[in-house]
This record gives sequence, C-alpha cells and structure tokens, in this order.
Amino acid sequence: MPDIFAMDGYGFYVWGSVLVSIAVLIINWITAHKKFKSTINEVKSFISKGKE
Amino acid sequence: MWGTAWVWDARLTSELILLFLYLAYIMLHLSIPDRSKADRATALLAIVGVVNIPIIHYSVVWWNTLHQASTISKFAKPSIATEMLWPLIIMILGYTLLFAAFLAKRTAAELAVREKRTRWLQTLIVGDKNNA
Repeated sequence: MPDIFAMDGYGFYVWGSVLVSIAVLIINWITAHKKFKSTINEVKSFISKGKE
Repeated sequence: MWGTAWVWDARLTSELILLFLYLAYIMLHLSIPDRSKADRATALLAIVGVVNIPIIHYSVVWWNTLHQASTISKFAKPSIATEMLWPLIIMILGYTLLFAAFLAKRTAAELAVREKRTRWLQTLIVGDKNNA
C-alpha cells in the first residue's frame, strides 16, 4: 500500500475522518437542496390550486 | 493535538465547551415550539457564547498547553514551514468558500420555508415559471 494511504499506520483514522467529513458535507448539501425544492413545489401547487 | 486522542488541554477543553454551546443552541431551538421565540432565545445564547471565542483563541497564550502557540501572525513572519503554510492558506480559502456556499444554500431553503405564504415569494416563483 502506498505511504499516502498507510499514513504510518494511522491511515484508517486519517482517511476514515476524510470520508466521514465528505459524507457529512454531501448529506448536508442534499438535505438543504431537497428542503428548498419541496418548499418551492409546495408553493407552486398552492398557486395552481388557487388558480383553479 | 499530536500524540494523544484526548487530554484536558486548554485549547481542547475550550473547543469542547464550544461544541456543547453548539449542541445547546440546536437543542434550545428545537425545544421551543414558537419559532420567533426560539429565534430570539437562541440569538441570545449565541451572543453569550461569543465570549468563548477569545478564550479559544488566547488559550494557547494564557495557559501552558500541548497545542503550539500562534504560528501565523499579522505582524510577524509566520513561524510555520512554507511547505505547510501554503496548503493551510489554500484550505482556509477553500473551506471559507465552501462555508459561504452552504450558508447561501441553507439560507435559501430556510427563507423559502418561512416565507412560503408571502406574496413576494409566490410572485417570484410564478415569474420563474413564466420565464421557463
């Protein structure tokens, strides 16, 4: 295994932390985006119901 | 902190208090059903919590800690090695931009939820729809 992955025996902790951080950032972005989209869709359906 | 997972060091302990303040902020906001009251209460807690920021910053100066003293200063040549300084600056810049993007995204989502019954947002969405 290349040295960069081994990290002197601490690879699991170092790269594990990196992976968890990336996962948290991605989840954070997706949840915010979903919340925004669902609210916009809710408003759109509210407007279209009002027009009917 | 190099060489140990945990120690009751001034920098680590003051940052642990910061973590508890963040958790208290979230719990307080969740525990008050009235959103406007929750906003005010948590804003007050945030103002009180700011007291911890200079304590974190100066903890390495005021107490003898495992954490090194400041290595980047406005007024003196950085004591950090150049090979570490540039990656650090690039990462600070990167994370600042990332934070700004997340803040904008979260603010847009929160604003949409809070203002969904207002005319301006509905007009904005209808206008968007008409333009599409």
